[in-house]
Amino acid sequence: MQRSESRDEDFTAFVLARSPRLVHLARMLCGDAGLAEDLVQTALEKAYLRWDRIELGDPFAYVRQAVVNQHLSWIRRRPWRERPSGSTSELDEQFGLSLRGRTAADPSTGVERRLAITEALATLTRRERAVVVLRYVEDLTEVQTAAALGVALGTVKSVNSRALQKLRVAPELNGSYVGEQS
Amino acid sequence: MNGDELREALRPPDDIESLDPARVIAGAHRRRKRGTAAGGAAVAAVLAVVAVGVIADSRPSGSPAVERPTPSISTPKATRTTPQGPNVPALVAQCKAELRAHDLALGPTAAKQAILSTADGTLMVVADGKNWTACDTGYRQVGHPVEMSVRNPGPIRRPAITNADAFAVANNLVTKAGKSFDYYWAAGLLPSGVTTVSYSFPGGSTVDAVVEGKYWLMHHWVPMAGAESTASSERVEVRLLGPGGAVLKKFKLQPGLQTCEQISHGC
Repeated sequence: MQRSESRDEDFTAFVLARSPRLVHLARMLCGDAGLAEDLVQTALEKAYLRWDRIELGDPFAYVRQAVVNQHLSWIRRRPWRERPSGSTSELDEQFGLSLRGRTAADPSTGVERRLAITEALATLTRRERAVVVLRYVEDLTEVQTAAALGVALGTVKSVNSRALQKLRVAPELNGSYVGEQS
Repeated sequence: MNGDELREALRPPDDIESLDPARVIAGAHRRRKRGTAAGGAAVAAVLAVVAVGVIADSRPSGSPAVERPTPSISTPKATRTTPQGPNVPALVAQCKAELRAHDLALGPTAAKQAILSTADGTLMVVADGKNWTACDTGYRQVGHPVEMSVRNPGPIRRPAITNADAFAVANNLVTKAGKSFDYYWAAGLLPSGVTTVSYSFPGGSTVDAVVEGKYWLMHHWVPMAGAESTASSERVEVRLLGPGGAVLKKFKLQPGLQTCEQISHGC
């Protein structure tokens, strides 16, 4: 019983500390705030059933992987809302980018810029978006991204390059994104 | 704007709330319970079909032989496609659609090359002249919407005998007939000189891949012990066998990298 309680305490602490970042990752992947929470909730539920095994390693990496996998498995049923065309407020709600306090919390990047990038991100294919999100949200290396997506390193390089090229010419960004030269 | 600015722009906002841990834990328990209930219903349905079959003194037309996941750690019997087996053209079409959904594709000549089918799922290799992929329905479960999983297509090239990545397994948790299983699947091309691939899983079960032409296919369900999973430091072991069963190469898969846990598509 004590072991079970301790297990739940550890898991609870993990959820409280790490789920916001996981939800953000999922929002960037799927473009839907509600679906993002579903993705993370599902991944965490499965992780809980294996917590004894998972907590021996890197639980965050495990659940992040599960979120990505779950996203790739779910895409047929609940596709990304390609090119969200809603108003700024709708996008704000969709991606949870609260205007209130955002400017103060993030003085270096304007709200409109974030929304424009999010819109531009929505124009990428799911695979391109997954690569960009893992590279630039999670800051994974190309090798780590390849491992996370179960693809070859060369695939990550080419997909990333293609995605950045699209962002460079995305009308949402008015051609302002230059990106890293590869 | 450069890459650093992109990182900054995509930085998580500070106002995302945590999920409710109690709700997550309750959901996990419901997930297990739901599997149990759905499994019970499936068993009832199976029993009804069997009863009808017995009464009619004949096998239900078009129904594959009923085979439940093995509740022990013994190796389940893998069966090849039978005349009453899966609808291959439909599965190939579904596989191609699944590829398209993932922004992937094979050439127009893509067709089934090898298949491994049991009542619990079908694993199939599909290839065109240059690339191959594998599609699997074993992750499909009662009450779960995922119908098919597909791995990334790769070039038709025999891997080196030392290439452990070529034998990576997809691994996920499935619930069938009220029991939880670790489900594993993998497929690939045989290295030169290798006649089959043998996997040993945590818990002690061993299964040999089914070989068809130059391809091998493996799927396996390992019962999870107890109400909760138990920590296991055991690793999946792969043995590449030559003629006469000689072990040509043996290695253990790296957890996480070569055993893709919670992954439904191919690893």
